[in-house]
Amino acid sequence: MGGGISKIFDITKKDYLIKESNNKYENNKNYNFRRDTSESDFYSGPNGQVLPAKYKQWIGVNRRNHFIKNARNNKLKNAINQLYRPGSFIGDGGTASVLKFEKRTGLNVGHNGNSHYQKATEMKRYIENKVMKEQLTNKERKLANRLVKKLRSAIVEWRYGI
Amino acid sequence: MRYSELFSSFENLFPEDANVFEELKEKNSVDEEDGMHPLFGLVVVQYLKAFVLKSPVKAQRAFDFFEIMEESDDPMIAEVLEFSVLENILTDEDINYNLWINYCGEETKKAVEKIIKWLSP
Repeated sequence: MGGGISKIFDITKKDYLIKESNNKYENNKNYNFRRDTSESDFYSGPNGQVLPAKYKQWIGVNRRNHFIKNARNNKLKNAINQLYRPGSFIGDGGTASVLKFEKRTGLNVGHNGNSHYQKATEMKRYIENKVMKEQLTNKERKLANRLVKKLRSAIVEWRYGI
Repeated sequence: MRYSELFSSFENLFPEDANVFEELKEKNSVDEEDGMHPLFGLVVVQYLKAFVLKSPVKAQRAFDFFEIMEESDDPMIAEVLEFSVLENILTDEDINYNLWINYCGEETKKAVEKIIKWLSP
């Protein structure tokens, strides 16, 4: 779409917005936009930030609260807090998803193209060496294993490709 | 500045609080062998919250150090600042953005702007 107008799909409202050249966002209802079936140019994440449409499959639901709710052990909670930031909307909101996103899109989330590889590597080691040695419930151990598995998968992909 | 010495360099800025760092490391079961991300994410951020942001002198000392990290030629050093410190303090409901942003140097501010794109502080 040209003429200074872009069509944006708001992932949280499951509705289209259009962005005018004056940067004012309007809900499509005002413009009867619902009948337009053409592809969106951009997709908007839960925080209102916008990603080009080609990355729409990367916008996901942050799993932080779900994981925190299932963890009573403080060190496991620490690890979840480090890996899952509130408001992060790439994949499941965790470092592993962000690292995969960086690898597959070439878009590094950090300043000057910095990536999450080193953080993923060190946090995986922290969970394996410290968190897993804690007295965890079966549910917590399963969760810790799940976090390690996600990180390992992203690290392997980063190193060796898909 | 060497990656493996990042934490000790930061710790040495605050010799008066050496015991605090030891307590935080013990409380979180984290040490140099775990790496700089767990150390900065778990120890430095808690130290910032508890002590640094309550003291303008300490805050300036810390954020001057962070600016050197962000300017480092070693990208791994800036990554620790961005993904284990700035991401943390940007998303911590108990830390007021206006309390620390003015202590940031130019490069750190640019990093903050970039990170905000991917988060909702």
